[in-house]
Amino acid sequence: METESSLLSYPDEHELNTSADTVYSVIGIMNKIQALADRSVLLGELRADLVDLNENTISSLREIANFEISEDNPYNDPKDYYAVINNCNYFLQKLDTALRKRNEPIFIREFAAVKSFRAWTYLQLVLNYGQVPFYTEAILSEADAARDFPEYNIEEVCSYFIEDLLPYVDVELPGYGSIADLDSRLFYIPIRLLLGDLCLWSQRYSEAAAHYHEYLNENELYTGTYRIEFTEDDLQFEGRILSNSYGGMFSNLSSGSDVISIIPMDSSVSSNAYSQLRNYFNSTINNELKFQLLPSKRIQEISASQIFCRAKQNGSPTYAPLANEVNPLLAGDLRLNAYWSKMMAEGKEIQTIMKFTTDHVFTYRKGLIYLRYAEALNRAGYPESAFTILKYGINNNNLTRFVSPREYQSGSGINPLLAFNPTLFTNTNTLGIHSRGSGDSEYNEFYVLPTPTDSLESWQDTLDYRIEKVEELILTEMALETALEGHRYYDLMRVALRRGQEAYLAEKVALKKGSSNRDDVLYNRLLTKNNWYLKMK
Amino acid sequence: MYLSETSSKLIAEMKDCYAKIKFRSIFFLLMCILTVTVYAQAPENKTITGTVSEASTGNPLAGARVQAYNNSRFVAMTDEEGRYSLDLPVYINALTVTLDGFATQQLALKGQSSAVDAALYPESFIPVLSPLTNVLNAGSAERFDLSSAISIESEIQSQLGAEVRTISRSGIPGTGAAMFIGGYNSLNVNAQPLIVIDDVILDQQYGREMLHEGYYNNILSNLAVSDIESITVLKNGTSLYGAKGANGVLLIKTKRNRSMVTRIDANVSAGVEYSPRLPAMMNAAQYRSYASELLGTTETELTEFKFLKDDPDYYYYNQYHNETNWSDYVYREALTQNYSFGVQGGDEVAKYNLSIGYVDAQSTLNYNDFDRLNLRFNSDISINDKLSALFDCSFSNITRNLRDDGVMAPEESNVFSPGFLSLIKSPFLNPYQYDTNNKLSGFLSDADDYLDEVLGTTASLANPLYIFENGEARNKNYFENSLINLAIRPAYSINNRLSIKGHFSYTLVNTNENYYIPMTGVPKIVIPNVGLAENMVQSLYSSQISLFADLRMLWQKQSGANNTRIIAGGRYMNDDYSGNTQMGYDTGNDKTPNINSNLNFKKVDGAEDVWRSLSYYANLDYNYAEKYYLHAGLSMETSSRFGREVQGGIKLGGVSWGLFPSVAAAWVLSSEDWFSLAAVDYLKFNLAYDISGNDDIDYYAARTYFGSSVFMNRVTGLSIQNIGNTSIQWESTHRGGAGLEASLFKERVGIQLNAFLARTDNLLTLKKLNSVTGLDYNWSNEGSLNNRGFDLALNFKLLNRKDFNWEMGFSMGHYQNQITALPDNESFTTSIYGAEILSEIGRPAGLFYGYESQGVYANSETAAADGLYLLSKTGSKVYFGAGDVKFIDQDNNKEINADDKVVIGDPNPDLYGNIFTNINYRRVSLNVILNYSLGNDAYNYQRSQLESGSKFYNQSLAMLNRWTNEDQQTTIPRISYKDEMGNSRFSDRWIEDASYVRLKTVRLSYNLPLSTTYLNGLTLWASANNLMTLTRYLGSDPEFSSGNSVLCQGIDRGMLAFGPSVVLGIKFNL
Repeated sequence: METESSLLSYPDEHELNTSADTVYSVIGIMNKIQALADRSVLLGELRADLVDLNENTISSLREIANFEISEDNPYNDPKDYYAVINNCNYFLQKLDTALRKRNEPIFIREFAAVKSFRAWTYLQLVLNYGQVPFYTEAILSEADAARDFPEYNIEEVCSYFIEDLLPYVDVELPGYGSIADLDSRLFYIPIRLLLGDLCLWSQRYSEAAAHYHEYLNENELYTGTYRIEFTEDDLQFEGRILSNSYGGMFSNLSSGSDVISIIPMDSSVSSNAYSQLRNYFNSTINNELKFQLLPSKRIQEISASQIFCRAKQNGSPTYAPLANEVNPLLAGDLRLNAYWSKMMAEGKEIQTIMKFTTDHVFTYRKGLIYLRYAEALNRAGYPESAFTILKYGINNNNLTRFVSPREYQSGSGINPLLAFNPTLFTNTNTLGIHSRGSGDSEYNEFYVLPTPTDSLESWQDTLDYRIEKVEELILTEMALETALEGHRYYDLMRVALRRGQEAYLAEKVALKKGSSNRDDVLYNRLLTKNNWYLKMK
Repeated sequence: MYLSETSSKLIAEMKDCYAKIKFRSIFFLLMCILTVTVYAQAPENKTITGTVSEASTGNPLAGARVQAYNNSRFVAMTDEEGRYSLDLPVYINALTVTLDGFATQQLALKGQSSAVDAALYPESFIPVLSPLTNVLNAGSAERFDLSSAISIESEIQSQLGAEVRTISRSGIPGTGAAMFIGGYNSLNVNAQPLIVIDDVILDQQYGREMLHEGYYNNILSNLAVSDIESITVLKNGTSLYGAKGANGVLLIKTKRNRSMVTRIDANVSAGVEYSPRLPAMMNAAQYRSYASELLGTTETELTEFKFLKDDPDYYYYNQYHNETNWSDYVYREALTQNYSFGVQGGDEVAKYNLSIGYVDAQSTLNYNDFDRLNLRFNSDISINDKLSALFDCSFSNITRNLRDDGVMAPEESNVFSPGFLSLIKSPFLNPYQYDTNNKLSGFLSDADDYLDEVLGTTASLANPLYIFENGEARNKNYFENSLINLAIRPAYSINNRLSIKGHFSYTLVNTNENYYIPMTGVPKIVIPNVGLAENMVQSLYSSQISLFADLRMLWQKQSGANNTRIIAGGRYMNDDYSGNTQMGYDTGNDKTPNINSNLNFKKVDGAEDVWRSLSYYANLDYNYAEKYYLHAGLSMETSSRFGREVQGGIKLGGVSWGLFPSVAAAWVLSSEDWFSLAAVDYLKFNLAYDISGNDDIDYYAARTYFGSSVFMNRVTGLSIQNIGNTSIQWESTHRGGAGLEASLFKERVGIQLNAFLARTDNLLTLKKLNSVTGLDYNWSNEGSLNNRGFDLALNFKLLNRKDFNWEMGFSMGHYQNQITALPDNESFTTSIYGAEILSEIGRPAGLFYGYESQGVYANSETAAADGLYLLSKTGSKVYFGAGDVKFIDQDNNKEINADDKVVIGDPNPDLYGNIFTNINYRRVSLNVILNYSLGNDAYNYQRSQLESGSKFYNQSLAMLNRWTNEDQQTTIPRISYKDEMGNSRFSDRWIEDASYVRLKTVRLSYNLPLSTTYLNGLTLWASANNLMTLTRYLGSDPEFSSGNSVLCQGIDRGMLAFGPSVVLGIKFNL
């Protein structure tokens, strides 16, 4: 009695043993990931302290920021994550990995790529929901759907996928050439970076550091020289002349740019896969110039409290004034100014945030990876090296100069977590991340490795002291470098979990409207860990 | 709650009964037959005598045929004095009397043997009883001779209006009607009856969408009314149609030739339909003032507008100072011509009926014409005594012009419907341009631009005349539908009791539609969230091939008082529908309206649906002495749409089968010897019980499948799109019916009454899936609803004189529908044209669910005292003020939000049906038919647009009473661009009582006293339709249908209404 339709295919005939079948399926999964793009940013940012709302903000975003997310909030639907997961499960289950060509499994790249999509999606899901039904066998029938699924927490999800991904860590990404004028390799989640993240969440810091290090070194991803600074002619630091290669960095998707991977999105507003982020953060025709989200008082304070340093030819530093009366954004770290522009037009305030000028949503970029690498190194017991990433830029030369041998050496050689190809990672192409917005931080006498004023009893005590302080510096740097990109809430959560201090997250988030304006209601709500997560429906 | 205790009991009994029937029915029936056969061994005879006379004069009638009821072995003819005498076996209880020119009469013997007299009425009276006992008490109609209808639905409404609730779709010719039999037997899937034409199920493509707004592709309009012999409405006894019969069945028979006389008929008619009633709109000055006031509520800071300058010397004065009634250009008097020609003839070997018809029907809404050519050849071939075959073929081709009709959906911002445009277009503009000398030219005006400075082009409206003229071409706005059917029905008699019949049919339905919105005269087309386009082109092509095969065995036996007939057989159906639609924008100019690869925003959609079903069935009809009747049927059906593991059926051969039994019994009381009520000529009771199904299951609901989607506008991806519900099955409807048929006072009064009680279980609904599946819903069977009601038809012969007779009758139908279960017992709402439709346990389906209002705040003080507010989309409070509608805050929390919605209307009628009267004087007949529907509410969506006060649309005259100043007492709120307070939201402001009584048809015919060699008869007739409608409804027409689905009843989209029409016709018999 069964009938066929050429427009549909069924599991029994969708065998995944030809390259066409596998491509269709991988593309199908990418299609489903698009549904998660906007929320990966909104849930990670609106709940933290760096974004604020205005009178135009629609209720669904307001709910997220107030931790009162209703069931019908479009960004609160676990189904969308499971749509990716179930399609991945099917693919991984059905892909004919036995097929080999020249003794190489021919679909191994797709296999690895899909494993990585699944792990990334589960990580997103568990970070937002805390505890999630977990399954890795495809659901293809109602009976499958009615199974009793175990509930995994963050720790369990991370452990599972570290094991799951490790065997494929060196598999290359599939190459489907260019799709919609983009290198399709940008569309994947690099396994090593994801492993770094999973280890970081699992508090396996050395492993995390090793993954980030390996990824950066292998792929020759030196930091580059993206930065914003007062030019040398601007003696008064007034901002008359700025050199800004930083703001444009976010729209450059060519190889060698800061962007490592993206969720590619459609350019047409009618498409389901159109990212609304630009219309939330920017004044556009689509929103009648009414943007809805803006950098908070808190990120402005953090930026302003940095000390901008300019080194003269001879290396002696001069410092920008702490306040700039003409343009308050030109005080302290300049990155906020580099990506945030405001102007008045027809009596309306117009805002543009350069981080949201492409169609796409970023998953990884270099600045982010370096800071996660720093976080891992610091917690692995290498705070000096971590700090080097912020202040000097990491390469052999700087490590030798600024890091004590206790960290840099390992046995008779270089600590493998810190060894970089000396010919590729040089002083010229490596910049301390802090220098991206705070001037020549390598000469900045106010930006120094935290050292206890009184010498402590043991090296370990000093180390512990440093790790906590450097971690604060890294967190601040993360705010300066990756604000609005969707990471802040998880960064705070990770540190709070690590330190076992709910108040750490609560305190920071409650200061969104400025340090003199603490939101006590929010603070108290966030003291309970349960309130950090969305409710599964 | 609504279900009384007794009815629950009845349902429980029905259930019980079903269970018993399943296991015992066959055994039980066999026992019955055997027992009765034994009793009927030794017939004794009796002699019956009486006279046959003419009822009007009492004159005896000679040559009348008096026959034992349904038994041609016992016949007598009346003599000169009208007397007859007939020897009959004792078990004969009734006679039939027939005579040419008179209505057949049934005579109950009631134990008498003499003075069994008949008084015959002329055949112009509608027969009160069916010729054979109507075991199921099914209604039927067969008088379509002088009909001016293009499609049969109109006649169904006129003649069977109480049994089939028939709601015309719109005044566009041939679009037919939505029909419901016995209430609503489904909620989410098809609820329209099954259409069976000459025993072949014809798929009506009910769920397929067309390109033109407001247009419905009515497959049934392929059938010419003049080709139809009879229509029967089956509510019970549907086991033959198993999983397809739950919505009731319309059995349509086409004409066949039964005699060897050659007959030629020709029927020619022509008519005119006048423009329908339209809402009264503001004139130029009134609209100018409205627009000027509305501009004040926009954010504009401009103060000068060309259209507001009243200086006659001003250059643009003429352009903006016209008094145009746009409807004059859009509507017209429509002409209709209808020709049909039929030849019947043949000999002992072959008889045939050939007919050809042509209809050209204009529409009162310009450019919506209907053209149909139809051809039908039905033949009966007798090869020898045992072998015969019916061979039929038919072809029809419909072509049309089409334009969008009705108000577009609220989310749609383009207005392309000329009818609606003609209402809302500013009356101060002119369809034609002024030339440089400020003289009116013959060139059409472009889309309007008088608001461009403020609103850009978004408020611009098209010139409807451009949509007509530049949209006119075969490759622009054109529709074609053709239907071909070939059927062969061989029959072989093995002996005089047993025969085998086959039925093989092939049907092809092709549909082609082109849609085009020109670039000239039309503002830029808004493609939501994408951008603007110059013009728009769409095309649709679909083709459906249906194969039907039925093979059955018949066995019948008449033995004394026992009459038995058994049919057993199997039926196989295969349907293959494929279709695709394409759309694109910006063809470059209006000369090349073709789909090509260079178009912008192209979209291609397709469907390829294949479904098949197989069923086995057996029917038994038995009667004893034409007095006690029993009908029993059982079918088992499987379908490609069923899951493999259905709960309610049986598993056989790896597939699931549904079982569909029906039983019916009838008792002709008047045939009992003891029956002595002199006033009652005939009385029959019947009971019936059926379980039937609705197999309108999503084609692939049972299967888990992958579907494709486009990634980055370029590449295709495959992903899981459905988790199959392997237990998906038909909706099952249990229907019990009881009926009565009677004729009283010497056949002066005829009564047909049916009452029914039905329950539908396993409603097909979308059920929420566990979110771990990554999908929202899949189809499942959950939920139930009940229907109960009745239909009654009464017929009175008021006068019967020699040259003058007068009859009158009426029918009324009623149903009460109630939802009794829903998935997770949660009520839900469905959004249709701005309306919210509630589905809730304990209530009928289709209720309007919205806000209640209580007038308009006259001043700020009263508004502030109430302190009602709504939350803007950013979450801030916005208070209702002076001139705003006072919505009822049901939960008293001051916030007007979704929690304040209540049921504000019910589109279900209390009563519906017809009233008719026929008067015959000599050769002149006058027929009058009224139809009515009482107690049904409507959502006047069109009016909600014409009185919204939120757009620069011309408004109805009611808007002159809009609130403009403090302390003004009125029921019409202030106007406000974009209506921030939602004063025009879906509320009881737009719900109206749509009850009506309509004078549907008045027909006068004259049968010329002719009999020449070449001409056997000539009838002249004239009919007037829709002369008058009594209603309080404010829309153009209280009868409209926005769709076939249960949930979109009572929503008035303002589609073309019927205007009054007059048709003149001549019928020749050669």
